Amino acid sequence: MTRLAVKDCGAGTTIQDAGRFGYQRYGVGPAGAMDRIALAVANMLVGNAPGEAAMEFTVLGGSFVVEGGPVRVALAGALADLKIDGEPVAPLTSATAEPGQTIAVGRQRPAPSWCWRSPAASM
Amino acid sequence: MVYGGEFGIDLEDVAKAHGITTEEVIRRHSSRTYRVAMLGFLPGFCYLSGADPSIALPRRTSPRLKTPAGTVSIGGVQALFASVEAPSGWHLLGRTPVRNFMPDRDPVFLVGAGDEVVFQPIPEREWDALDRAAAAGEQVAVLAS
Repeated sequence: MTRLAVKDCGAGTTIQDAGRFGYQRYGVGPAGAMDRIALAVANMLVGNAPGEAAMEFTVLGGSFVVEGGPVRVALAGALADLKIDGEPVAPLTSATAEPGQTIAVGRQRPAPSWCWRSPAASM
Repeated sequence: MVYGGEFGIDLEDVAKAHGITTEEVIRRHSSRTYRVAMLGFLPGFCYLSGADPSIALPRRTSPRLKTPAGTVSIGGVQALFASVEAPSGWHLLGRTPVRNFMPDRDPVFLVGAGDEVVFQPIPEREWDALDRAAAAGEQVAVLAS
């Protein structure tokens, strides 16, 4: 099984999908990503369906070590650096990280705002 | 629902606050027909109108971090039956085995806004069997349409 080991991340790092609608009458708010368009862009860059769950960062990024299998990642939303083993990935493109490599998302600029990273595999 | 004891740790306080017996609190609480005014706070939490004002009590000054799933409580003039475990500052009268929110069950939610609810006192010895049945997704409450 492919895994991302969390080395560090900010307190505002969560897994978000496109939300769930039609249940507020039962006490379930829609929740989901702050920016569903950016979520869709990040997902499409890695070949996912637009609403699949992705990792959402608020201001601070994080770093993750890939285990088990390759992971295709992309970042969309706010401006932030995406690097694999220190090598920058161009904005709005996807790249593949191999087992043992570190995926790092930098601090957003300007803060505060949101950005997404979608591994190609459901979270 | 099972009233009092470890199922409803505030039943005696509510009785004392009104100078009545716990049996009388149970009678007044269980003899009303409530209407679900809204759901909120957590999935499946039903806030009820129609509570007997003679057993109303302002919220506790010190809430509890955890109250059990199915908790039936009163806060001010409102009545509530909870779905899942949650913090609460209300007065806990008892517990129902009915699980109003089970994500893997069809239907996920049993009771919705506008529905009528009555509470049926049951003895503690009946709890285990009903709780197990509800956990398995079986219907343990009488649902009339």
